[in-house]
Amino acid sequence: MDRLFAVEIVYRGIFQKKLAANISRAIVLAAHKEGKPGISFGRYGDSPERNGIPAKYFAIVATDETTLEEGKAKYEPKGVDISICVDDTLFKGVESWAWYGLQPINKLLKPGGTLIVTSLKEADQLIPLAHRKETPYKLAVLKGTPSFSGLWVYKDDHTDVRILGVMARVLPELFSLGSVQETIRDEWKNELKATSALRAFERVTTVTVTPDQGNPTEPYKSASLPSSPSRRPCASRWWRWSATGRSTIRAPSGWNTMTRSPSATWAGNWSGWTTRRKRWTRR
Amino acid sequence: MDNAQEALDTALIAYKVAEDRRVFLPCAISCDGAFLTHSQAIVKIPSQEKVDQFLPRYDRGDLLLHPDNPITVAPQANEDWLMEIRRQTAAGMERSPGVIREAYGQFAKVFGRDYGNPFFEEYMTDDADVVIVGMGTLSNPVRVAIREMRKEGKKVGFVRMRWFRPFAAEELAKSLSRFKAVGIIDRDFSLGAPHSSGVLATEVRAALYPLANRPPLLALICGLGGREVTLPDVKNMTDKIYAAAAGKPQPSTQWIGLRE
Repeated sequence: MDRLFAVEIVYRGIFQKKLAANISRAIVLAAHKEGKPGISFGRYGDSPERNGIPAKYFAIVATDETTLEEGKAKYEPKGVDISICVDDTLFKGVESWAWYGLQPINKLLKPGGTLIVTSLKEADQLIPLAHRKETPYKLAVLKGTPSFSGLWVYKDDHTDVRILGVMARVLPELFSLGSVQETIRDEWKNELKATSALRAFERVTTVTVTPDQGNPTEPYKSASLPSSPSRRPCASRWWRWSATGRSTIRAPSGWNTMTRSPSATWAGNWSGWTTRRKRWTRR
Repeated sequence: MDNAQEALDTALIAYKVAEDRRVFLPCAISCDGAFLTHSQAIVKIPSQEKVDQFLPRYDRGDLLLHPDNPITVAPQANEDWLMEIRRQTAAGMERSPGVIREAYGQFAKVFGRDYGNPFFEEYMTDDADVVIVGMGTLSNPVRVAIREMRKEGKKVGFVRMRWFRPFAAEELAKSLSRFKAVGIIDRDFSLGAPHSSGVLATEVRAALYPLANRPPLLALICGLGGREVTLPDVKNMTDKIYAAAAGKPQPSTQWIGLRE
């Protein structure tokens, strides 16, 4: 049966960029060993990517090219089989860009999917930090501190291959440990890293997180978009305002737009201008 | 191009075409930013031997400007010669379609990947009533949407342009004249262009003009700034193209997915 796998890697921008890129690249290569086509791509939460800002990589793998095309047809996956969090401080939620509001770390997980996190904490310490999810999911904790395998400094602490080993354990339909180790030997030419993947595969344990577990608070939502009828009840087709004599940015009454200074009638009142700017010209 | 393999292959072909003495013009390759440039996919990297076989070492021969004989030549063309120089470049461009076809043919022989028609790719057009025309990675959602719409009984096809210059006007017009209506999706906008269209729609409209029986043409603008072109967007556009085929009057250019 045709199947599309999606994996999300949530990381700290720049500081963990190389780590996330390594993981997503190796996912595609390991799946390729088993004849599954795939693609990986970055998705900057804050574009351009900046130090420490939460960012994401995605890997999409399919059983055939046609199914893969269905995955590529979307900007980014709406649901993932595995979500990887390489810094447990992101467990409280990802606020990558105010546009999206706070995204629970488990937001994109499909029902029954697995959230893999690198942490020294135990699962029962981590579960209350993540937001509650309506459907059960599995949590796999990979023991370790957040890896700083980034753009400027690459700390090769084997976090990348250990995560691949865990993936082979929690989602064997995606790829096997053998394919992971073969990929590691091809790409890194390092038998020790292949052994690290094996150890992670052997040692990882998962717990099921039920809908009544986790942070019960409602994560705040993204800002209302300009199209929201509640915020802009009479402003339909606002791009036509200028044609009807209204402009999106209007100087306050008494402001001389030619000299860019107050005119004689200026009363020092900015309120209309600032309100209009805030309401209509900014997201 | 809509995938990494095609991007690599096109780079080799572009050198082949640009360095050909019959053309001898610079060749620019455009890729969708982020969608294609910032994604990683498995590509077949050809061996150096095969690349050398397809693309021999660049040899400027006896040309005046030569790295073995560094000289300074004033790169200015005075106004009394500009027209002749322009005509010379135009002649090179007019010869380029044949050179491009040759290059794709040689590429298929050497590397075993045959792209068929170099200038545009047709998808499910054989029995199509209406057709969507587009460029780049737009093909991903369009192809998936077409497969879904075909299950619903809608006979939709897709034409993906590969070469924008030279523009295969006659060949494209002949192909598009088969359909009841044509919708051109532009992921760009040419401010002040005829009918306020995007660049591709303007070109296709001009290409279709000499036809005695031109199919209705709809210019569709969407996905600006990298906004996602969703499957419902494509289906919505297809409905509009079908409406155009039925003779329903509607604006010649329409923006899709715009917040209202």
